Amino acid sequence: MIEEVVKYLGLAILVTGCLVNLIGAIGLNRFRNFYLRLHAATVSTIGGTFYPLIGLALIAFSSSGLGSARFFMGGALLVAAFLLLMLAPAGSHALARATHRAGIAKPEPAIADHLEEDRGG
Amino acid sequence: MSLVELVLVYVALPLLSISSILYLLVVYRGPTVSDRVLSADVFFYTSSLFFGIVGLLIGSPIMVACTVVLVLWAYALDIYVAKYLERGELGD
Repeated sequence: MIEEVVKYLGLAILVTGCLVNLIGAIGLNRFRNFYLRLHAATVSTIGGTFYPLIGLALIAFSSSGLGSARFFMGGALLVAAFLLLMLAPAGSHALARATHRAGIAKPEPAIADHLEEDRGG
Repeated sequence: MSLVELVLVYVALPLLSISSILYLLVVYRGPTVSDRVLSADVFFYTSSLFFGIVGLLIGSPIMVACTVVLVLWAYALDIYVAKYLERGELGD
């Protein structure tokens, strides 16, 4: 009973996350420049990959046909989800900071750019 | 096939394939190098999810363990490109 509930809960989280991932992919194509694309990348990273990995781990834990390998699978998926939650924001922050310092992309719809002013630009 | 496997094969995997194609489109035509790297990043994360689903379907624990490596590799790509854009090559 509880196994079925966990399995279908994980399936619902997974399918919702895949839809969010598609929405983020469309946004990554449609936005104009790099700083706007960061929003879409965040949507498809956390909403479209972190939550589906959690749902997939729930499915793996509750599928008893796999024997004892299901604990290995679910544990690996949980570790991957935790690493994604920690590392993806750090990586995109480093990339955005380097892009701003190197002046590759112009922050276009901007009222004020305090980071540029602090550097004396 | 059970209901979970049917949903995984006919709903989740096609959605992830469409979004992977859209990410690769941005990797191909993105105007700056930062766009390309950001999109390649999200593509690696999505393909790690893809590997997890396929590994669960075929019942292979080694393929599921690949998800951790893919996530770590995308982070390494991020940090390397950020370092290159700020200060040049590694070691300078």
